[in-house]
Amino acid sequence: MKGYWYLIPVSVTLGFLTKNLMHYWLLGLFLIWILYLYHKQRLGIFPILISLIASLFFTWYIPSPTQLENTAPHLPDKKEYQMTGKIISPIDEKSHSIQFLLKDNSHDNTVQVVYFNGKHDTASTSGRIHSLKYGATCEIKGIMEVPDQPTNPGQFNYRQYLFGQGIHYQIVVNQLSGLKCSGSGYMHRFYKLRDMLTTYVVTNTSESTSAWLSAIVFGDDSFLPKDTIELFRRWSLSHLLAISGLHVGLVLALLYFILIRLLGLTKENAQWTILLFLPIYAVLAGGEPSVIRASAMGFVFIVINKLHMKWSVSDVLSFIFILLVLVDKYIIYQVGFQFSFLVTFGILLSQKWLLQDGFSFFQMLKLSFISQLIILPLYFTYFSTFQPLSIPLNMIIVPYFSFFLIPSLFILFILSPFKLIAAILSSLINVLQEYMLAMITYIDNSFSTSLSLGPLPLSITVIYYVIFFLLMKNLHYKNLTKAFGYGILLVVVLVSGAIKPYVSNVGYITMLDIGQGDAFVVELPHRKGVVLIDAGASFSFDSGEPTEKVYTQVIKPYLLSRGINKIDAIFLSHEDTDHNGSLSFIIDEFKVGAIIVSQFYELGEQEIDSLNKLGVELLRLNENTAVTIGGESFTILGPKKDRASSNSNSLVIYGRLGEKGWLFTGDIGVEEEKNILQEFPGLEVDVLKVAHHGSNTSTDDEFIRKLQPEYALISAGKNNRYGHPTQEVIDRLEKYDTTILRTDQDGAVQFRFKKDKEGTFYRQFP
Amino acid sequence: MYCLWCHEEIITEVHWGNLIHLYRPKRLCMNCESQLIKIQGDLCSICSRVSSVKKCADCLKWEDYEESPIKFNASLYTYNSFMQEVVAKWKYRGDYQLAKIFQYEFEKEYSKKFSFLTKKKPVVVPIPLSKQRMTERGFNQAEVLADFIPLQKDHVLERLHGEKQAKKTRYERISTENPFILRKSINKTVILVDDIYTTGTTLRHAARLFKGNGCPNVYTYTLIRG
Repeated sequence: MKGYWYLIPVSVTLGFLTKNLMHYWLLGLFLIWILYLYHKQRLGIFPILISLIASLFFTWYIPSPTQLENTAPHLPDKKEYQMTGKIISPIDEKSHSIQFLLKDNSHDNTVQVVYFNGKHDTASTSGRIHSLKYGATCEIKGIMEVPDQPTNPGQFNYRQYLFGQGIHYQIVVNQLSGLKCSGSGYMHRFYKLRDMLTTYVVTNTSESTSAWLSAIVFGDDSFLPKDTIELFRRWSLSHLLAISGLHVGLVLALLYFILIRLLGLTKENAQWTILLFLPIYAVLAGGEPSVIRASAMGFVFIVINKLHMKWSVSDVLSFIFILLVLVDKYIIYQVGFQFSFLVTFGILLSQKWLLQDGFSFFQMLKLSFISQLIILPLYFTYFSTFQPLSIPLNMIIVPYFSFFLIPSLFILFILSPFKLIAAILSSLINVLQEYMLAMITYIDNSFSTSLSLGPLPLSITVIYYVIFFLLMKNLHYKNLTKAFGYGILLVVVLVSGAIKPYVSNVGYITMLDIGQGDAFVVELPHRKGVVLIDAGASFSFDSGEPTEKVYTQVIKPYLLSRGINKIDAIFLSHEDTDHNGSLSFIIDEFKVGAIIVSQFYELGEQEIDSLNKLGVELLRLNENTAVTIGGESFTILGPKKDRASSNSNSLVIYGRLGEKGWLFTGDIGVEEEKNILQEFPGLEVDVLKVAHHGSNTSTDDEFIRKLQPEYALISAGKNNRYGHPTQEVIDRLEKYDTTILRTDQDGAVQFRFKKDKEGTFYRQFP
Repeated sequence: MYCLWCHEEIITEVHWGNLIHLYRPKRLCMNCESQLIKIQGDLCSICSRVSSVKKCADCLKWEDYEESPIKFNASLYTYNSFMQEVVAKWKYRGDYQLAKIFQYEFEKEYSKKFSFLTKKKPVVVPIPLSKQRMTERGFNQAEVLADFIPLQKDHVLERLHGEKQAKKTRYERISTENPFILRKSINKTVILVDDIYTTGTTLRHAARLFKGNGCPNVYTYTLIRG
């Protein structure tokens, strides 16, 4: 079995995919492969049996998403609930909330506890918060709920994310009296130490250095600016922020050097010290899968060496994989786990190719190339877009991190008691970091050529990996011409994925569920045009300013998942936040051709300035004019005159798409509806966007009677405080047999149509 | 798995080349394997000895006596000192298992060199040992090698007892009488298999017998070219 242990992680992975994607042929493929190897005498009977048993065992063992849902014990949902259990995670303390995991004593299942600190918390109550410790026994009182499901296509699946960690319920504690904890566990010391060290770092070094220090030394990136984290993610540099094998390797090298050269320890003792240090470091560095993987590998290699045993690297990697999965069957759902093992395995397989020409920048490029390409389909699944230029960028940034930043931050940490030296080193790091960030930002602004494919279909993923395998195999055997051919083919596959929407004759009109507010995305067949009708946002109750939440959680993920990075036009019905609040975020990150508003839409000078600066055209349209986008005409039916109220002044848009007449009404009232009937008799409306989220100030009986729409679209927030849509409006629509599609109940609603053909509506929750 | 020669443990590292289509289990460690040198470069068209001209001096000398009874000889390895040690242990000291070292390569080289004959359904004939030598050694190395080839085998040759070839000088070898007896004539193409081709006398003796008894073509295939 030696040398063949990697068959087990392969079987685990295929079992996981089989259950997740419900494609049982994947497991079948594995069995056929194993039997083929047996037939060809490549494998003895022992590895065959182990692999077969493992594949069956792990397919049974790893929970599938549906299984997760079904096995969730039935607890009262949305009700006050009391439970006793043990804290089994470090306490995640943020400015507005405290989160931790609690293992329920009676049901033996894990619950995520969230406590939102209000402002009323005083020092006298902070005692309760301090009693929150790893391993403490707690009595919790709060509202029990099942984590939210995504209500929009492309949206992050929080429920599955938590289910993937074995967490089926979330309990929201509103009052501090709902948290009663005492005692602590053994592991608490380590988490406490980690907290103390980060606090020490934050208080003792300058702000920008400490943010990097806690990210890179302790794996806690919460002090880094969000923009930086997002920038690193965009350019596939996040692995540098998370503690990965690279860090652990460097730390070990540094430690080994210090122990032997500076402290004069024998090699023997230095190795023992490192063995002791590794598990502690894994915990201090945050215990992410990549840290555990890297530390465990270091640990095992030293032990193997000490015992004079010989094992192949792939075997050691496989053992650690198997061990982690056995300890935590949910771990395979974690992105960090998937990336870490896949990249390590890819590098391992490419060793010969990597070591061909000694250490050089070319080698760094190869390393970057393998690491990025082996996870590319996963990358599209999770992030929708990929920057091809991140491969050469990694080649530059990775050495900078490896040879300068990471070692110097560790040295800075060690030297931090010596204020003067620390200050000098810290300012040196700061200067270089600024240059580095400025460079990445410059590249981000000037050379951004992102490939937005959205999640790849399984067929493309399979084709991708087959070609990637052939490419790497030919590189391994130095068949450069063939390898080049497969390289080209790989690019062709990706590009064909990118042009798919341009070839496809299917169009989409999507009413996104953004809570209480409007956001429609119209994608014409053959990607002739992408049009947004309204782009609302939620707003913070403190300042009244729009928040990024709707944009980052709904609109952006949807657009990226559809491979959209250019929008031809955005119609804004009127200037309320629930209709236009996400505009500023969109024009910042997407190429937007034009903003189309009514002649009465009020725009501040600042807003006009920023539109000009970003080269976004501003179009003010009068009633009874039309604009053609991608060959489809959108007619403006109002407002005719200034009614001095933003709602009444809403832009009314009419278009024919998928053999249906669509009327988008913004937030107009009964008066404006009457006006439309008067001005445009004989208007054919099949799909009506019900005005003002279904408020009873619109959707007049006469309006529905005359138009007789087949479908009514209502975008309203779940349990919104305005009571939208009102029963009156619902009754009225039902009276005329109109099918009602509403975001608060159906989630996002999507109309899919083929060019010049009838289409069909799909609800997010059928 | 342990190296059949030096008994070091063999650790197979997986790479893109053997990930899907695993390699057969290795018999030798990397270090020992690297000491087996395959015959490469320009070879004599008849005896497969490394030679810059089409026919080497040896084969030209043979042609003074007769037209070569052998169409051509194919061999796999050179007879370097490592190979000499391996052969000594295998053949003379009876380490039967060592043959496995050569199994896959011997079979592979066979299909590379002789696959063009497949249609003619050739017969593989291992060079036999004399009865006395067989009792001494317990196995015939040529037969072991012939068994690696997935073809019909025919043991039609018999060998009279004589001095070991290895103990003779070149002149003695060339001028010896034919030690073989052909028990049955074969009128199909024959591939003679032996462990080593040194001067070619043994193989030529056998080939001559076949040719003289109605066999159209005789090829020879040996593990080593001395």
